[in-house]
Amino acid sequence: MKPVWILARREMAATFDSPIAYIAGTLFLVATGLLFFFGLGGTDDFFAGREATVRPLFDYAPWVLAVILPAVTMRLLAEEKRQGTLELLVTLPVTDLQIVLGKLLGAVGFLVVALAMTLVLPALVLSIGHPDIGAIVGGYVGLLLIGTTFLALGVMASTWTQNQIVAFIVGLMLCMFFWTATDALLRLVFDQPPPALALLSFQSQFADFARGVIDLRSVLYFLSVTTLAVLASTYALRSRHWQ
Amino acid sequence: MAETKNKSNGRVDGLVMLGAAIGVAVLVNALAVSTAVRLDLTEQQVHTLSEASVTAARALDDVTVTVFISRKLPETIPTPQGKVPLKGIDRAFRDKLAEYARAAGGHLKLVYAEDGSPGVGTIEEQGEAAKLETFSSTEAQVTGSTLKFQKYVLGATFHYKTVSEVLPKALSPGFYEFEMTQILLRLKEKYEQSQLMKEPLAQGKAIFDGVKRCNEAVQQAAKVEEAKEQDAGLSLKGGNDPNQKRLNAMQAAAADLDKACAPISGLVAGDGAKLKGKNRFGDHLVDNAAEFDKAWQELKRATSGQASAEGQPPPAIMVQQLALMLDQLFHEVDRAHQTLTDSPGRKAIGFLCGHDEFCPFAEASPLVDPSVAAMLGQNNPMMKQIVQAAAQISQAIDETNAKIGDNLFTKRGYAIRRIGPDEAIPDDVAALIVYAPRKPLGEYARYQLDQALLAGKPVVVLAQAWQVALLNMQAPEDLGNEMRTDWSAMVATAGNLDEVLKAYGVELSKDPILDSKHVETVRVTGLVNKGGLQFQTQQDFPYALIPVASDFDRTHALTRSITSLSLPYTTSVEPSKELAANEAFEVSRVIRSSTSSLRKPGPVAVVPQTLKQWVLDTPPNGPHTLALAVSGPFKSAFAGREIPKRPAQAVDPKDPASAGQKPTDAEYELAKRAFKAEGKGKLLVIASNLGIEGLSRSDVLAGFDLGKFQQFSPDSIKAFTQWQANFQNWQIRIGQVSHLLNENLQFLSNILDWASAHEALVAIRSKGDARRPMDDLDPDKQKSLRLAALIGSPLLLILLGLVRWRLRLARNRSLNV
Amino acid sequence: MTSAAMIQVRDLVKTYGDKNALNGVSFDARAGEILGLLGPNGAGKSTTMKILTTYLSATSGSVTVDGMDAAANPLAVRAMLGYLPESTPLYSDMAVYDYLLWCGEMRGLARADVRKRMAEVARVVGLENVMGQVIGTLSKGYKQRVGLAQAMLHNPKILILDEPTSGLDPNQIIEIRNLIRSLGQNHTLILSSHNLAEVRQICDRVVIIHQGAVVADGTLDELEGRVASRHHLIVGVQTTPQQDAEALRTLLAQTPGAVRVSFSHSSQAPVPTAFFDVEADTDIRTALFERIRGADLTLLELRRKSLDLEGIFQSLTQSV
Repeated sequence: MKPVWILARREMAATFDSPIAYIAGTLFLVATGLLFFFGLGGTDDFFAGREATVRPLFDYAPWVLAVILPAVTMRLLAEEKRQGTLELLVTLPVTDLQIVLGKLLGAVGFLVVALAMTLVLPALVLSIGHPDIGAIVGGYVGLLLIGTTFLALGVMASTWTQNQIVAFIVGLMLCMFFWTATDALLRLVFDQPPPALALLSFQSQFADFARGVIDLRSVLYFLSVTTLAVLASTYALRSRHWQ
Repeated sequence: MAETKNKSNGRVDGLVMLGAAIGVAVLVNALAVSTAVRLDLTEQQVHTLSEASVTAARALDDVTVTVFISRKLPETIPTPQGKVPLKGIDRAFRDKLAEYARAAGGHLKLVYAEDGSPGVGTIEEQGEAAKLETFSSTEAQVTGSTLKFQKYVLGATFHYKTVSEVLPKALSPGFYEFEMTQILLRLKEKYEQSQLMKEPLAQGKAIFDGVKRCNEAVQQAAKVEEAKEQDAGLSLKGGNDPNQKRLNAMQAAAADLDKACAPISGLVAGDGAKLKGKNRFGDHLVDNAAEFDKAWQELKRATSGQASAEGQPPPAIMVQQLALMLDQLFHEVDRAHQTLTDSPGRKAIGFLCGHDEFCPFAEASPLVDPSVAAMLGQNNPMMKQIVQAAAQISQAIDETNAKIGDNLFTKRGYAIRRIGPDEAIPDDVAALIVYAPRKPLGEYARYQLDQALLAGKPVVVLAQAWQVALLNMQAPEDLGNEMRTDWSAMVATAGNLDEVLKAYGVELSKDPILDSKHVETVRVTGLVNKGGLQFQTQQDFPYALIPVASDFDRTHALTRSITSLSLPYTTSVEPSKELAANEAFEVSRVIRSSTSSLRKPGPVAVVPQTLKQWVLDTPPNGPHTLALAVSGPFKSAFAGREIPKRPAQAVDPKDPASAGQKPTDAEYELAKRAFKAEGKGKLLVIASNLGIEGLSRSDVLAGFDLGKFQQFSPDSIKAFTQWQANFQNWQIRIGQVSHLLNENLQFLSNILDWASAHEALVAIRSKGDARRPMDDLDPDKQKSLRLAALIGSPLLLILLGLVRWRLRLARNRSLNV
Repeated sequence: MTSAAMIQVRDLVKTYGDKNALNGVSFDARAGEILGLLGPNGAGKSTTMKILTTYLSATSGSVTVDGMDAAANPLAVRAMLGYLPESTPLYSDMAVYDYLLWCGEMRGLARADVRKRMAEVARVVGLENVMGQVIGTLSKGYKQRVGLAQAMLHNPKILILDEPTSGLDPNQIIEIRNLIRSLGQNHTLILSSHNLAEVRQICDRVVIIHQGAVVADGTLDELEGRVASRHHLIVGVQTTPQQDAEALRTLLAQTPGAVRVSFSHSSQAPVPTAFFDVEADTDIRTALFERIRGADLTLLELRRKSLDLEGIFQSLTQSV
């Protein structure tokens, strides 16, 4: 586990040494802030609701994360491949799985920082009312989980190509697909999607967190998708052996 | 060679691993579907259903919930207390329903109504069709030149097998769980009981269907005519009078109508007779159906032209009126049928009567036995007149009470039972209501109350310590004079509830609560003499004796969705020190008066202006508790005492049943053995009558004694005038406060729900509204906060980046040396 | 073959798609030996090294390092190796200090140990004055040193350097060569190069790879001996305008022992001269001199052709 941590630390440092962290971070904060205060379409004034809640953040943040996070993960392996540093990396005494995990953990570090920056919103709400702290904690746990899942998908996309732009676009499509399209697709096929299949949708899995409930099933689901994405990334990294 | 397989092996192994991982993931998630490990982080576990709710949700298989939520709900809706914000309420509603769906594990299906194809109509129309209540926003919408208040719905219907329940308007998120679980429990009970009541329900349905068929046929015939009116120019037959044309059409369709409607008589006589007497709701339906049948017979006669008796309007108009009336009667039948199908499993609520309470029933026996009255007349025609008039008053009282009972309770689906002062509470009565008695409760009634409480039956006590009359009629001192009016009365009632309740640790005060700020108005009806003509006038005065309470225990189901209550002439009620300190008891101050309220020994001056000034000059000492709910292990007030015997009722020689009710020794022995000295109970005490004052024969016809009237005397005339005055005074007193009854009746409904609710529901306390209010902020503060949040966090991020960069640069430089 | 072999490479075959990069490469590297992998671009040197370092797997064949099968124990093998890939890929936005620290930690060294080793290595490779510089801003030579530093940081038994001097200027090349040579004193070292002079300077032994196969394997002396068994001479004869180059060639070809004589080129300054390539199985310089003098011609130049890579390959591929 130690190499994973060392790798993650370097990745995080690399992220915050590059402007991408600040561009992506600023975009994320501004977008979630605007959505929080004005809603989609700018008509939903937060103060007009007169409700001391951070819920709009949890309603909108996954959308923004699905766009921003692939930009953070796009370079992780694609750049190593293009610059050839991957050769040095994988000939260090670490396994491919450790490499993928380290990369993912480093990106999670960015996610944590970005989410921590949004704490101004709960702080603001706390200053003007008594929001439900537990619900806020639940929401953040959810954002962390769904964000990690998005990151794992992004890492997976990054292992498939040397081109960062391609990695970004593929990652974005994956995230958006899981976040929005599963619902729509299921609705196309089924009138009333069977509950088991309806659970495939990120949105329905995330809904619980947004209101402050942590359901083992949702946690398992996000962890499963993350695990599968990590394994697929490892497989892609290993594929150099038989190409 | 093993090595030659290197390449393919790696790839295949990897793919196999990946496939296995997917398989494991699917399996783990599939296995987890049935787990229910949920961690509710919200402060009051607002998203965690109570044990009772989960059990209720799991107890039913295959419930379908149709949810109606307007596409965009308004920001606020108007209520008497101002705008109530609705933002996020639909989300709370969806969340809660989803919670139930999860708890039921696939047995509860949620179907969201959508703005459908043209035939289906808007969500609001669908909701109305499903018997949901619509509400409108504060803002009117301008469409063209007309102002329109948009209608909205937020509610759901629950269907289980053959039965269904409606959640008509879901505007209090804190009580969603209470309401939904109540519905689920009701569904189960209703379904099970309806299986036992199949026959009455089938009979009821047969009658209803018959009436419906007939009404549809009649309305169809009447409508066909209207449609034809549009091309009246082409039609030369029957002239241009629509009524005449309608008559013609009805006559043409007479055979069909007769075929559709003729069976009703048979149904009423057959199924109706069988149904009758089974329960109040069945009776109600049969009565209404009989009314309908009567109207139909009339219509039939009018159509066939037989009826034009003298003094009646011509048949064409008759037919039109009767058709309209038939439709109205049909709606009554429909309502009665609804309450009947709704009735299975409803628990009966007992109203204690006989102490001048609010007792919404007709008296069991007439004031004067008709045969006795007939005998009276032989001696003294004057007396005969008086007695007949008294009987008329008595009948009016009975009718008023019965009507109130029907309208307030039976029509709303509550099963109520009268409990006489000397009557043992029957087992099938699940709760007892003692509604503002103005006479002391006797030992036996107190004993009954005691045992009902200890048996766990919810006991609701409403108190009326004062009777306030701003305008009071008095019989004249001298015969032949006009009735006197005076302005004076605030009279203490003779109840002994304070004493009764003391045994249970509840201290009911007799001091009126006044308020200087939060008050409702009293309506004064007076006669004004203008130019020799008398006019009746009505005037409203803010009245300190009608405090408006808005401080409620928001966690209690009783006060859910109540925004304010006006409690006329209320006193206060507090738990005793011992009770408050006893942890075994749960004590909730359900309603409290405002801080500007004042408790003062009565009586006080009742004239509005005088009272107002006086209250303003006196420092307040509020808040005071106006309603108290106590539950816990009560001890009997009769512990260690001889329990009272059931008093012998005045035996009515004409009523053989009353002889059987004679108390016996065996019965007493049984009662002694059944005596409970302790038991868990629920007691609700409200220190006001909510503005509903009982109307009772013994109060109005005070001093009525047949014996007295054997001889004529001026006193009997005076007594008779006084009875008339008493009846009028009751109407005046009710009239003083009737304008504020609306919300109080909602509260009364809640009381009945609470009293008749399933045991499991008691455990469901409101967790409060999941929505938390925000402080009031002026727009400038909003703007600056918003700006700070929007700019602050990115700025902080960039700043941190800069700091990090500078630090790194400095360190790198130091390394280079 | 011998128990002292630190690295045994046996029958390595690597195919990319349907192209064969390696066709059964086998060689050994003994402990403490500096082994040069020689071959032109695309010969398979890099592929061999990538398989050695377990970056890639061989399609077939085996690599044994210190008695362990590399494919079966990649982590143990990697731990023993220091590797400098071709063209020295490095994280260009990291400071040298951070990069080396990270490499050391990734190698499982404790932080304090890494710092100590970093100081040593930095002194050895001459990085002391650029430790705080961002790698991307370093010159090619310094980058190469950083690459070397990361490879030797953990004091590995084996160093594998892929074209360590390519792209460097002559001064840098000399520095790096000296560095490598000093490293070879206590490491088993495999380096690849397409420069024979470099190999001659540094390596104890050379394996020559051509088109995915080993064409020669031996000490430099052995190899030169093999190549030297055929002699290449360059002969310059003064000519007069009337003399025919072909006549001269024929004349030279009649020298006893000459196998093949071909006209190379002619030049006019400072005197008209015709140059010929002469191949022979034995040293025929004396005979040639006699022959030219006998023909009353003036010999202006007679020298052995230098042993450059192309020459060796030419000769090796022809001799095989």
